[in-house]
Order: sequence, then C-alpha cells, then structure tokens
Amino acid sequence: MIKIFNYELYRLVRDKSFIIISFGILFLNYAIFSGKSISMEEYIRKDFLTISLSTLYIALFIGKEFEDKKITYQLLAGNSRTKILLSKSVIVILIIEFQLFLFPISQMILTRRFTLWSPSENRFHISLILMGIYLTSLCILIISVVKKSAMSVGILILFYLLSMLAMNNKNIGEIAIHFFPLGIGQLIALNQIGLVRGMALILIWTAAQMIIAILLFLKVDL
Amino acid sequence: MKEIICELKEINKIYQGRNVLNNINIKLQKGETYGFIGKNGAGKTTTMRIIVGLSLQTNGEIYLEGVKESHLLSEKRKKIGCMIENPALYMGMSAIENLEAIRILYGILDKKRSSQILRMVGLENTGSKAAKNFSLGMRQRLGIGMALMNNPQLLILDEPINGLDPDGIVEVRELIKGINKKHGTTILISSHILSEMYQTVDNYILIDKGRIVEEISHQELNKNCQKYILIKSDNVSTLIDTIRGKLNTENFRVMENNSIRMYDYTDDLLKVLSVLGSVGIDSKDISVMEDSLEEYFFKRTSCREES
Repeated sequence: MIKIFNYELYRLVRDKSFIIISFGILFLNYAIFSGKSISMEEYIRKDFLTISLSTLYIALFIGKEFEDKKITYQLLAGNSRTKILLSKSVIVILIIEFQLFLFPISQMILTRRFTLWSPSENRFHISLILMGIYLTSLCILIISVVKKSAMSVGILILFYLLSMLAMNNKNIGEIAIHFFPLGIGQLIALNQIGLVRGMALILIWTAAQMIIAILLFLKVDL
Repeated sequence: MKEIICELKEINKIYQGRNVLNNINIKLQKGETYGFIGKNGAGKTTTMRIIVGLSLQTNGEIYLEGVKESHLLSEKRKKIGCMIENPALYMGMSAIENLEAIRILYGILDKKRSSQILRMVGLENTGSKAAKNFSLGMRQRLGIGMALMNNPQLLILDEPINGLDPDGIVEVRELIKGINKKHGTTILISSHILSEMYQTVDNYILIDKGRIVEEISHQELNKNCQKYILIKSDNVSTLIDTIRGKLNTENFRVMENNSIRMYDYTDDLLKVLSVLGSVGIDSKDISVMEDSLEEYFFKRTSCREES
C-alpha cells in the first residue's frame, strides 16, 4: 500500500495540471471573495467551484491511469485490486483535502486573519474534511465504473448540476439538502444539523459508495 | 521438459454475449520465446490481458509457477512484465522519470536500476525530454524498459513492433532476443508481421476466433514450410510401404486428408513419378509444393473455416 502511495505521490508532484488546477482554485476563490469580508456561510455556499474543480482533476488524474492501462503496473507489482483501489483512495483524499483547504489556509497566511481558520470554526473544518472523504468515494466509484477520464468528468459535472438544481429547487430543495452529502456538508458547517448525525450520514454515503466501487472493481475488466 | 512458468487451462471468456475465448489451453516453458499469431479480434490481446490480470476469465484456470489461487496469483504476477496494446507512459515525464515511477511502485531500492534499464533500451541520451516528444520507436523501447523493471521471468509484449520503421523493428527485435538470451526470460509476443516473428521466436501459438489452432516449434514450422512432394492416394498404407521400400526414406509425414508430404527427392521428381507410377499412383496426384509462412498460417486458419 505504501509503495502505491509513494508512486502516486511521485507522479503527483510532477503533474503540471495539479499545480495549474490548484492555482486555478486559489485564483478563482480570490476573484470571488476579493474585497469582501468572507462569512463562513457565503464561503460554504460558493465552495461548489472548488469542489467541482478538485474532483474534475481527480477524474483526470486517476481516470487516465485506467484509460492508459497504467493500472497494469500496479497489478504486476503484486497488488490485489482491492489494495489498488484503497491506496488510490488515500492519495485522492489527500489531494481533495489539500485543494479544499488551500484557500482558507492561504487567506490565513496572507491576511494574518483567522476568519475561516480559528478554533471556533471547527464545524466548518470538519465539514470540509467530511466533504473530502465523501467526494473521494464518489470519484473512485465513478472512475472505477466508467474507467475513462473524459466520461468521468462528464458524469461528475452532471452530478453537480443535478445536485445544485435539486438543492436550489423551491419544492424539493429542503429535502434535497438533507439528502445530498454536498448539502449535508453545508448544514454541518452552518450548524443546522447535529454534528454526529451529519457525520454519520456522510460516512454512510461514503462507505456505501466505496463498497459498491470495490465490488464492481473486483468484477470488471480493466 | 522445462519448467512451466505459465499455464492456461480451459480458459473461456464471454464478452457482451460473444464467446471471445474458447477453451484456451497454453503452456509456456521457462526460457522459451513464443509468437502469438492470429488475425485482429482472434483473442490474442484478451488472452494476454487475462494472464496479467487486467481481464477476468469467465471460467478456466490460470497457473503461474503452478499456483492458481487468486491471492497467490497477485504475488506471482510480480514476475511478469508486460506491454499490452500501447506503451503505458507518463507523457509529461522524461524516460528516467517514467522508469523511476515504476521503480518506486515495485519497491526496488536500487536507484541505479532505472539508469541500467535506460541503457539497456538505448535511451540513455534522452535527458529531460518528455516522453510525448519521443518517436514511436523510442516510446516502444521505453514501454519495454518499464516492463523489464522488475526483472521479469515472463515478458508479454502485444504488437511491440506495430508502426515502427525498419530500423525500429530491428532495434526492438535485437532487444527482445538479447533479453531472452542474457536473462533466460520467457517471452510471449503477438504480432501481425509473421516474417518478423519468424526471426524472433522459437515457438508459435496460432489462435483463430478465440480457439488455439496449433502450437508449433520453429523446427516443425520449417519442416512444414519447406519444399515437399505432395502425394495423394486412397491407399495410404501401400503408399507408405512403397516410399519406405523403394524410395528408401523416412522423411515424410502422413497428413489428415489421405495425402503424404515427402521432403526428400524434391529435386528428383522423375524418380518419384516412376516409382509411384509402378504402384498405380497417377502423376496428377503428385506435385511439388512449398508454403510461405503466411500461406501456412492462412491454410491453418482457413482449414478451420472450411471445417
């Protein structure tokens, strides 16, 4: 597992698109929030862009491995399919968490203000961590099913659009926000749902997605 | 008999309702080179993918060094190197970086291993040039280099000379032959270029429509393709006695369709005609034949189509 992790890390630091997308996330966040005093509520609502960019990058980073059959090397390094998928999940969590926390951390460093980074905002941090874990399982599930980077990107975009439409809909929005993990994450950050309940809901979603991904991954041709 | 490094037993693969592999039985012996020959869609790549674990067979067993249990197969696959379809390269990375990524993945501690491989495949002067700027031949060589990282006992190469220019073909051929000679690596190669296979491998596995048609050694192939006299007769046993008694040779083969291939006297047809004429064989049933490699393979696969 450590070998796959080291290998993923080696190629990650040499991947120009990782640097470009990370800078892109920073730039967009600064463009959106410049000149404003950022409230946590506003940040959470507009964080969709970071989530989208980050997961789209994952779809390319991992999806390309499947598409180009580089997964063969991992199989021939003596790893089982389950081990490969779990190892990839670890690096994906790290990438997503890094990109989700990039703006809050940079803001703290640059302004020396702790608007989004103070102990009083623990719910916000927990919500970001949970979102990272959930998004990892979502990406891994989609990639392990379609095994093509472009198609994975397309499905993720569609998923986000549908979630946003559902959560902003007058009639079903209230239900959707409690149903979609992306909504539950917002509710946790905004203190509109119990922390334990919210965490449990997201982790159940994550576990279900991971189990489905592993079961499918064990049965499909790569 | 040499040690069997890889064995496929009764492998079947049903893909989208179609039987793409049908009772495939293959034994690969240690240190031997095998050419896997068949038309597009015959099942070559699928068979290779099953060996390395990319595809799963519908039924049948894979044995790697005598082991068939799936959790042990993962471990045994560490001794396989492969390049299936296109070389799986990181296009933004240099040759040495590509090799380093694989070295880290395999957990090889010797940091010199990547530069050794780089020299072996003749890419030591590529510096920091990204793989995306490599020629097709360079990419193929880098792909083979990556397959060699774990010092494999079995090397599987799918169409390694596809799209290469003549110089590139020679380079890859020499590289493959060298690997087999120096390290005793068992090699399984698929290719459409039969003349090239003829210069590279010692054994041939013919596959057609998902079935193994024939396994034949280089010597047997030479014998089958050499000049011969084809004699047709309804009474094969008399014919055999005559050949043995009057032409004094054992260098013939009895074929399935009441005919005999005789490999002697190909330059002395008159003698054969007179001897066989004396036992009532018509001259129109005697002819001198010679198969090219392509003709041989075509006949073997078209025979199946007819039957």
